[in-house]
Amino acid sequence: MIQRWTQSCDNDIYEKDSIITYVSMTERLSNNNFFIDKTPHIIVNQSICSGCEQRTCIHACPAELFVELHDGSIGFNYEQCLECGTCLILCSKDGALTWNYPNDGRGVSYRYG
Amino acid sequence: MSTLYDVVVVGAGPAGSAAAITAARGGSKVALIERGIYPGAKSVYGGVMYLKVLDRIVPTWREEIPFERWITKRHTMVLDGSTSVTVSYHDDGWGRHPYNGVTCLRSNFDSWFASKAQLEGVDLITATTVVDVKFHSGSNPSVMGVTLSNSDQTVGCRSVVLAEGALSPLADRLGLSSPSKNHHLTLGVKEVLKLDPSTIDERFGVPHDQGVDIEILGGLSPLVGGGFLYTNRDTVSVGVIISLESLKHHQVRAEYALEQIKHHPSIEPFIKDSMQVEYLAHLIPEGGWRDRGTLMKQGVYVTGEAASSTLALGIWLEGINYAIEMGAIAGEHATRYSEGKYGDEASRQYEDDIKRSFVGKNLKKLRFAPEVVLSNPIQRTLPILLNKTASSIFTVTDPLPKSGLIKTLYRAIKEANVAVVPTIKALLKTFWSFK
Repeated sequence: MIQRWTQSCDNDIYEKDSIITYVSMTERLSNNNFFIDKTPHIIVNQSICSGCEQRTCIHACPAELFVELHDGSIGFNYEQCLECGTCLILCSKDGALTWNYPNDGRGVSYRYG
Repeated sequence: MSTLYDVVVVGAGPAGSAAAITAARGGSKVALIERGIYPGAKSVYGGVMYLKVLDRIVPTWREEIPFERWITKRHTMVLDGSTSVTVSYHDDGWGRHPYNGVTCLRSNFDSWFASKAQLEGVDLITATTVVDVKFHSGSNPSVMGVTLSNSDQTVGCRSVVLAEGALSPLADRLGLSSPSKNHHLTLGVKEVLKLDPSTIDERFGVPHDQGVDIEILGGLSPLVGGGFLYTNRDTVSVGVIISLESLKHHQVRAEYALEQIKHHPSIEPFIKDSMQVEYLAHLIPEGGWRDRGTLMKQGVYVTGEAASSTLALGIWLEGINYAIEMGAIAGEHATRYSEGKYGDEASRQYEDDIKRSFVGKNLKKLRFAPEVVLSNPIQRTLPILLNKTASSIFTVTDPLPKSGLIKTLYRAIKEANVAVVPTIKALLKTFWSFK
């Protein structure tokens, strides 16, 4: 699935209204090998996240796994996590994320690397 | 307590396997524990390996490594809008012994390197995550063992080498990581794109076993960082490296910056009609020497990326060679520690040996460079200025007469809207930090 994707930005150096062909994240991740764990290796603490206004995780996760749900809570899909740690480093709320590496060889398994 | 090892190495990447090899050669019984299902399953890198460092560990590496292409062309490409200025170096000699840089797939390379450790008698344990390090009780406690995700038992050992990579959860928990490390992390995202090997040869102008490495500055606006494109045998890898600070500040996605680079008219022809086969992300510690943290405590040695052993500076992008050397030194020290040959001076001796190696010397010499490379003059001003200058020099203005170099440069500076004095200062500072 290829879709036209636009993004605007208030930075003056940035080219406004630039349009590029953007591959959807679903497609981008579809060729990766994932051995999915039964239990999530990252747990989002909704009671802390609901009070967060920055929500950096939503923009920063390079696999787009954090989404804001209709009720304002944070939805997180651990199954396609690339285990990079960006969310953990950029999250400004102590205790919002319980972050562990997956066990027993689960998680992403790069074939190229 | 189960099996007793002299040394347990956490992470079977380049640093971990090097540590396991030197520890085993020192006479230790070694376990090399890897959380992926094979070594390399969790590994990501951004370009070229410089492996002369292996001469003292695996002297036959040139005949043995599962290489993709020997790098014979090195481009530094500065992007702005839809233009680019490229400095290019081609050395056919790099395609022959003793070679310079090489590309490998990490799944192949890391597995090969770990197999060299196995040949030294190292127990390679995959699909196993080390979750904690246990210490003896007492006034000066040393390592007792490690606990694993899939077992309640502690695996006993006398020394531990943490080669767990950039995120370094164990080093963090033990209080060994530098508190400033997280401020100097960048996020690398990369795509591996499949192309016919002969298409790669043609597009990049190289024979089948030679390859090209393109380092990219600019073109990521508003984000701060750099990009790269390099050739494997039948794939090319394209990626961007973004400072986490700018990612947080601008709320623009890293993968969007990757698309920007991929669609730049100077890059797109190299990768068009390719098929994406993998998408990867990884954090890179760019703080260098100043972020190495506590390298050793109570028999626990930190090495490789976990100790910020990368040199990510635009003109030099190295890491695997540093990881191997630092890992090899850590393995030697861990063995001696496990034999009880060290007292209180163990930590200082490891640090001293790192300082004496090329890892310490290079990282220390260039310790001010990382922040300069990510600074505004280099990230914003330089790409605009270079491209505007090149455009005014090379664009023929007939019937208008040529304006001469000084006037051209003046016009480029004006057009780029650059403050002259701060820019000159910044460029001098950059030069100084690389001196």
